[in-house]
Amino acid sequence: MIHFVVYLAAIEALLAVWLAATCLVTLARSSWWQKRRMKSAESEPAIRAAIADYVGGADNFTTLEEYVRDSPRDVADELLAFRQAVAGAALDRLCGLTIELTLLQRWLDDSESRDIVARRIAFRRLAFACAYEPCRRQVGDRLAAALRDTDREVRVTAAAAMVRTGQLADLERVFGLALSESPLVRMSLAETLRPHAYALCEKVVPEVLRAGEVPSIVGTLELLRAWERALPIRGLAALMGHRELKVRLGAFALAPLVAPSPEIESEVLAAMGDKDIRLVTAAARAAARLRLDKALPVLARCVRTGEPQLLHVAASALAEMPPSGWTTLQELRFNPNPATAAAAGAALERARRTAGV
Amino acid sequence: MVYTFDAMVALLAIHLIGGLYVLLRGCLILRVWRREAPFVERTAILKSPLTPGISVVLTPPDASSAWHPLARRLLGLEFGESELVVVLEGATQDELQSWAREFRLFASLETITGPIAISPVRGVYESSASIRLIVVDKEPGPPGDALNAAVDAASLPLVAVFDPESEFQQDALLRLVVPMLESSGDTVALASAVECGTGDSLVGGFAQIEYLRSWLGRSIAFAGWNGLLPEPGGAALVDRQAVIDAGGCHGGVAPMFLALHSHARAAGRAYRIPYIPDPITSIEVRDEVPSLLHQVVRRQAWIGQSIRQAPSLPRGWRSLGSWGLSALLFTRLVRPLAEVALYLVIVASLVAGWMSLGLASAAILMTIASGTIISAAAVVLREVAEYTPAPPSRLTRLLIASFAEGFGYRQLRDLRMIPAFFSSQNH
Repeated sequence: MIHFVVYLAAIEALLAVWLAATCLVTLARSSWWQKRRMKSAESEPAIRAAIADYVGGADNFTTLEEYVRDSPRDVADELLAFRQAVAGAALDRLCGLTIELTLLQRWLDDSESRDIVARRIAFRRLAFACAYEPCRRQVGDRLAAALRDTDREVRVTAAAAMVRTGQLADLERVFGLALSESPLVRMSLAETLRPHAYALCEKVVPEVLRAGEVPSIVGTLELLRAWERALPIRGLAALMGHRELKVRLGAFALAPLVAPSPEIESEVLAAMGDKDIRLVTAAARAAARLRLDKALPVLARCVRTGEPQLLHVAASALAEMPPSGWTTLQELRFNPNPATAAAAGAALERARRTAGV
Repeated sequence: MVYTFDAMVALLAIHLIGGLYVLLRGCLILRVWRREAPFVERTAILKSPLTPGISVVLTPPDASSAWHPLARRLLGLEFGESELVVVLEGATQDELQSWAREFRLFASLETITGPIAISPVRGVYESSASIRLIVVDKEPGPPGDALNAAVDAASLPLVAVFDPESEFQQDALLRLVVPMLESSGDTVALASAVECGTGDSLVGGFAQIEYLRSWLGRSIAFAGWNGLLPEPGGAALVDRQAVIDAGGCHGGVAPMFLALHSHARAAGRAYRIPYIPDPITSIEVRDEVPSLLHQVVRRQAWIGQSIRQAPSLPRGWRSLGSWGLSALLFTRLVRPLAEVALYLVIVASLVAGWMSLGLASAAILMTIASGTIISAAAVVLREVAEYTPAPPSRLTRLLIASFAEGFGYRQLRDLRMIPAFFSSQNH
């Protein structure tokens, strides 16, 4: 009996020694961190004032050089904090300061660090500096190389900086990156690429769609949808009849953003007779957005059959197509099937309320 | 008696080593997560048509007007496409009217016909104001029935659940949806951390340590093993179709997560239920022991419900992997029972003269020390994992609390945990 307690005591004593040592280290680290934060807070107003003076036209940056020697991190943080406040010549001057203060070279060195966090910060800073042509020249192809970095944030930061050049080759690389990333990153890059949507739709998008790789086609369709612009996309009708369901769903979601054509209309109508409920749902939504009157009988049939999942989608689609869709719903309100009558009535009421009728 | 004492001490030793292993594992996982730094682009999430819609559900324990402010706050959450589904169980006419007045409700023609079977629905209401609000008035049903009704009534692909007792930030949904967008299709649910708001007193320190242990161990370490069960007070986001495929939920949110794990594992499907380690919600714990014990009891009831539900699930006791549920059962029920039994054995042995006072004191000290080591390890390992250290004053306060909690508070907590494990409270 005594042995068990002794063993436990021995284990606990060893753990207590380890804990005490770790506690001391963490407390020391915490104190050092706090001191550093206080020091940064003290120097922050002076650094900011010196940067403001320089951006305002003063040529002397001796004070800033001293701060760079003492705490380059604080100067870099303050420079980046100015990013949103300046534009044009003032921004060029601000970015030029990174060369004068040798900060750009430090960041380039850090961008090769094996530490992800250091690399991430370095690329964030380089992306800021690359708004200025001489900085871009010094950075060279480091940004393009960063598109293959193992860290996602580094890749996205580099991509955002590359898009600013506006050159088609850079846009093409970033577009390619967007296709290989997660939906979250794709959303972010879609925002970045949006101003160049037309340029991309002329050459890059048709090439990807023609290449026929399913993940790339799906990614491209998502990007096009995220841009939310009426775009000249050729061959969408063919994608609506693609063998892969994912591609078909993406194409139907995109249909309202392209100019309607007889081919697209016939694909929508054909898909509404499909067995896959996801495809019928996508087609019903597309029909509603395209205000496709020819789809009314098929939508009405969907409401009448009372298939629970399809019922509400079809009723909502009819509600989006006044006046003929509303007339159909008005008739369906009195259908003997209670589920049909309820769904039609609810969709009609909602549509009328939204329209203020 | 001798063997009982031996067994209790051995159980405590196992708990100490096992608990430290789980915390260490949580620390390593957190370190990796912090290095990966989740990429959050809120504007893109808010604006993009690619972001899936979210139905926020509110299933208050009663239909009183006390829940109107919470419903208002839920309606104010920032998100692109969202709706609020409120399920009231057994509401009186007066209560319904107060909801109707507050939110300008009118009786909808909409019916709720599944796909999950629920107790009879008395009426569905929608708001005539420019807000997407659906109120379902239904007969009271078994535990989890209100949540099932909300899933049935939801029209969007994701369902968000917030604890009625917690506070949340306005951008909660924007942050909550991120893990769903990071992978394509295999994320069936996720939960977020909860921040414990307390004062600077010793009891506040106890509360912080409770949350810290649970956060690093049961949440982060278990999420690393893909065996996450959400915490009370946190926010959860689930794939509506996954809940339907799992046959709905038969209890609170934690049993629902367990059912999702179990069905996905039974189907042999690749799936993940990630955890957001940064708090999206916060829960206020007053600097009083009863308030803290209330939270302890809630957490214990959640876990108890989940564990009791396990035998009816497709994977049974292996719903959280080979040993996930057994570990939970050990830490949440066996360990408190063993600790209480050990104290009783020591007292009985002293009275009967089978044990010297010295040995009894040593055994009690060892028991207290084992708890202190686990709590202090949680404080220290968090510091090791995080890039930004906590202020020294907070660290010192937590270390003092981890030492002090062994002298009375932990014993009281153990006594409350045992009956709470068998409690069936939902909220």
